Amino acid sequence: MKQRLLLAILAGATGCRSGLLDAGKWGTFRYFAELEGEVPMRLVPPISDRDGNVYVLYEDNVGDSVVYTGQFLGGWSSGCQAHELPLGDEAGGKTNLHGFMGSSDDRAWFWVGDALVEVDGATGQCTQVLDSDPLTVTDLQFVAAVPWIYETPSRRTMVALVRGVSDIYFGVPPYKVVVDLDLGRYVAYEVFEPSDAECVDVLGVGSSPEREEGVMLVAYTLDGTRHAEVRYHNAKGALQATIPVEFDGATAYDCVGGEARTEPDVVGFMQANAKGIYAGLMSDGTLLAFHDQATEGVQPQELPDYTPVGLVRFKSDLWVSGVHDDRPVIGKLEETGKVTETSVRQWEASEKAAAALNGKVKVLDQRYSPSEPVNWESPTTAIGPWPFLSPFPLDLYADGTTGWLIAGPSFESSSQIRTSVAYAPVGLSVP
Amino acid sequence: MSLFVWIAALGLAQAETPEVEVSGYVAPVFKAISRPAARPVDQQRTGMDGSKAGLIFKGNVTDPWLFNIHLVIGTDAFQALTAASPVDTDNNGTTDAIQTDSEPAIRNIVEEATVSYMPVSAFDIRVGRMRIPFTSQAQSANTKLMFPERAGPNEIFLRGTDLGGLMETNLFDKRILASVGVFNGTGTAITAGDQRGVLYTARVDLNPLGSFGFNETSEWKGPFRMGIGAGVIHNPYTAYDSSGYPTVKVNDLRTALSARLAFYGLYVSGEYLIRQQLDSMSSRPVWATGWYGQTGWHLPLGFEPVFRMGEVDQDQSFDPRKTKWVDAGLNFYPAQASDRPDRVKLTVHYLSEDRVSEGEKAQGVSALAQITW
Repeated sequence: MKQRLLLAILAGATGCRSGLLDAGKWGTFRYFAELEGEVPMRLVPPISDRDGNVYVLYEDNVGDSVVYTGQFLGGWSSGCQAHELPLGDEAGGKTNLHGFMGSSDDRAWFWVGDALVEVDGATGQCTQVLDSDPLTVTDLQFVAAVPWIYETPSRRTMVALVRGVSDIYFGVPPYKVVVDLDLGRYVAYEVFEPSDAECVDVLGVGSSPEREEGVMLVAYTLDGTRHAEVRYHNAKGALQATIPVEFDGATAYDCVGGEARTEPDVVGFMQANAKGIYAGLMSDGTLLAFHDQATEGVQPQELPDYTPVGLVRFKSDLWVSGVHDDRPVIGKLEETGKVTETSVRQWEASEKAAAALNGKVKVLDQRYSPSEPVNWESPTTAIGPWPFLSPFPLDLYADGTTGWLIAGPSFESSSQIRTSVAYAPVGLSVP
Repeated sequence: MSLFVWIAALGLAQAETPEVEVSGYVAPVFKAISRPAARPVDQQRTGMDGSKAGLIFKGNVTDPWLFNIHLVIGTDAFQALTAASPVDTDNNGTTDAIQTDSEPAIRNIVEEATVSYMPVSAFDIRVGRMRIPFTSQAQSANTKLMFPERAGPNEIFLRGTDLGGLMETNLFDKRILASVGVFNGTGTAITAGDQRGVLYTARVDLNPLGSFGFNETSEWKGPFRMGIGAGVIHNPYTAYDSSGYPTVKVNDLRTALSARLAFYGLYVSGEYLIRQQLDSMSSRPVWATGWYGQTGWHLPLGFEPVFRMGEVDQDQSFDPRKTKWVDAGLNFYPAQASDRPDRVKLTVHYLSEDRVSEGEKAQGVSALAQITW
């Protein structure tokens, strides 16, 4: 270890760089908790902040979310519960986890249920943001939150749709707000257009931070007809473009009366490549791809012969990951917005990362101080069927490196299965 | 008892009259800064900002022992928390906000407080609080800077002063200057906490054409001079958890490369800075690079137009953040005909900071009146 550090020092003094992980290679495993349930667990890919703190978001068996914070210099928080409520239309066993919104120097934000929550990287404390309207004290629900923190030296903001907790019973459209995350209040708001829309549903959200834009896939009923469209917003919440979306068989429904919606949801978040071509995996297994220059309505498309599981943004391209013949595969989203069969190939980095978990794996138990190394016998990925397969954006932990979770030994406690979970950085590449 | 009296008597007999040279400066600074994209309260800042006054005591009591005390008042201020109370706005028994009061306070007034042992003119050992001679600009005195402040990249890679010891040598009539030292590492802006480590530093400056000081304002009468140099800081430290057990070993390495030249009134200097930090747990290296270049040209009648630009790329291995600086201005030395032209220095300069990655710009003007005595 000392020799490696000395070599690194020598290299650093001469301007050479080192310290990154190769594709499929794991860094230090940090065992932080025993979570309820078995693999696959209700977890989204962890993220990190600029200081190097990492955040793990988990939903327990009763639908409450817990966020764990791993400090850059070691140690973990014991888990903070957000105590959010599920959104009114989230019945039926759907997860409350919408995902991480982003991070800043020493904190991160996530959206769970109807709440936007901030978590402090240094302490692990989590607090709801804009839980109620500061003027009317109305309990607010976040029905959409664009996963993009617009950060400048003097402020951090994000765009969201909010509504009063009782508005759903009257079918009242939500408000678009720009939330100042430091003040914990909105600094701009605008009524949803058209203002006489009914049964407004947000089917998915996404963003492209490099293009400084966020997108929302919304559906609403107007004059008895169902409409769906992608709306582009800038950091100030201003509408930049609207792209109509056509879902086969979408019809108006009685949202107040409890009828089921006919459009599919976006699973995870929509993501974009460097050219601004977005894609989102739909809950019916199709792929919705679009860009802001589209002049006609876009339709979800079928994918080549594999089961899509997630999206991966790597460098400037967007890839659709999935499983074929029980092996991880990945296909590139072309400029046409399609994934061609010829572009689909085995995902070696994912297989390599999974293979590295075979046998005895040394894990640093950081649940208590002092941390101690322990051995896990052939742990598995805690998210998805293979490493890196997730419809949520993978964290850019370091250049060519993301963070992932592995599951170790399980045991039964108080009639519940609990599973040991550890975080580790892992080298990432695409074919 | 008699031995003690004898030693005391010998000490008195060898005591010399202390030679103390007292000098100082006063430098009020006016700044008007505009940051249009910031919150309304931060968009305009106008007033005296960065003003300072310094007192310097240097001398020797007996050879080869020297001392140097440099106190700076009015700089390095921060808002100190003086009171905090919980606020329950809706009277539901929970704290909704914290009401705080703060007052400006001075963080540290000691720019330098050192004792030197100089057995020969070519070698000395200096211990105490001082600036680490990591860059060429870090070796320039506060009053000898071309601009009111040091370059942005210089301050990001190493700021302020530190406690430690330094061995310095100069050879061939200051054609070769070198130093090695050990410091606490409090100026490296690493994450605060329970950390234990030592900062090692080394620096070498080569001035092949003859002695070339680090004064950025008075190389206007001499012949052509040039100098190149390199500095390195290695700060290995171990972080401990709240129970006192080690968690991470960190290696922070910073390198500076410098080049300077002066030619009858023209002064040009530039530095390139590199940082790499590795640790035993995260697999996330911290990389940063930066550079700045500056030039000033002394014209007749005491005028000196000056220009500087610089850039820093931080966090290059995970979320690059680029910042650019541009400064341009005019120094005026009313007493330029005297033996110490820089006793009085008036500066007006334009400054800008462009946080490229975050899309926020700031620009403004500053005016400085500096009197050195």
